[in-house]
Amino acid sequence: MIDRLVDALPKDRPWELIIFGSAPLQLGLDPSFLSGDVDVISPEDITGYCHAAGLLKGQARIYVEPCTATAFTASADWPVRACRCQRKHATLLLPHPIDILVSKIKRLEEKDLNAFRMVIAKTGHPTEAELIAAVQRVVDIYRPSFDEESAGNPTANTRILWQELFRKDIDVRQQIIAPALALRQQSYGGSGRSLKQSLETLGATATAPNQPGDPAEPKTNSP
Amino acid sequence: MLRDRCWIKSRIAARILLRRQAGTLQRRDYRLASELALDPGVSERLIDQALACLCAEKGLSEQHYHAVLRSTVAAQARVGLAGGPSD
Repeated sequence: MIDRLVDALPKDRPWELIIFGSAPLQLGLDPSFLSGDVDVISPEDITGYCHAAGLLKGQARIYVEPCTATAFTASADWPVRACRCQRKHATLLLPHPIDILVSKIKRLEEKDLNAFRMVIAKTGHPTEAELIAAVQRVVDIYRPSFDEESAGNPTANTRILWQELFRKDIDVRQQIIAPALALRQQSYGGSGRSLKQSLETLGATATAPNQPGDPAEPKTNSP
Repeated sequence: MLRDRCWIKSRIAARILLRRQAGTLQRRDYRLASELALDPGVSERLIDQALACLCAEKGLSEQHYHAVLRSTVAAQARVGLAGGPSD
């Protein structure tokens, strides 16, 4: 199917396609892990080319689903882990299984749970620690959904996932969200206001009556 | 070289905090501190970065930078405790 897709694209320029969803798991880990569609993100709309080649839903048994980039919920560093391969004039970017799996948590239908089970059975990964690190990288999935969104409940889904995979409960707020936010704050240069408040306090010192021996006492012999 | 105004102000704020640590504050530092504290462009993050930058420029050790940071935060915590609500 992917070769047919590549053949359907104009050959006068190179293409870079992101293949996500279950297709990379089927390609990389288990050929029997079938899916009805191949989710594809392309910088240019490929719907017309797919339609002309009879690759869209209703045209082919296994069909191509051209998607917008926002359809794949993954951490910012997913391309670092991705597998890149060349097929004729197209470069295919196949996300790492951990990124594929994590992107399924928001929905977590039975088939998505099966994807987790299959990857763990085939590779022994992700371990619990690896999965915690992975979901912390996409911590924003736990934010409230937009009104226009018919999204699942990622917090409840994560707890279901932990029960299914590790036979235990997880406190999503304490074990995933809080540490991830703390790390993010650290990256942004701290969360406190201590430095700025110090300035404020200093400024207030200048107008307050001087205290004898106050180390912050303003000098009077300077301009 | 053009430099962002928020960054320049944050460097001034960091200089003031360094002078406070060294006990060499001048009268104008208090006035500037008061102004910079109210400036929305002078953020906690930028002051922290400016402190690290100035320490590196002055050839001070990384430990010195952390010591300045710790003492500033600790001093502020003491002020916060002293000025906190009483029962």
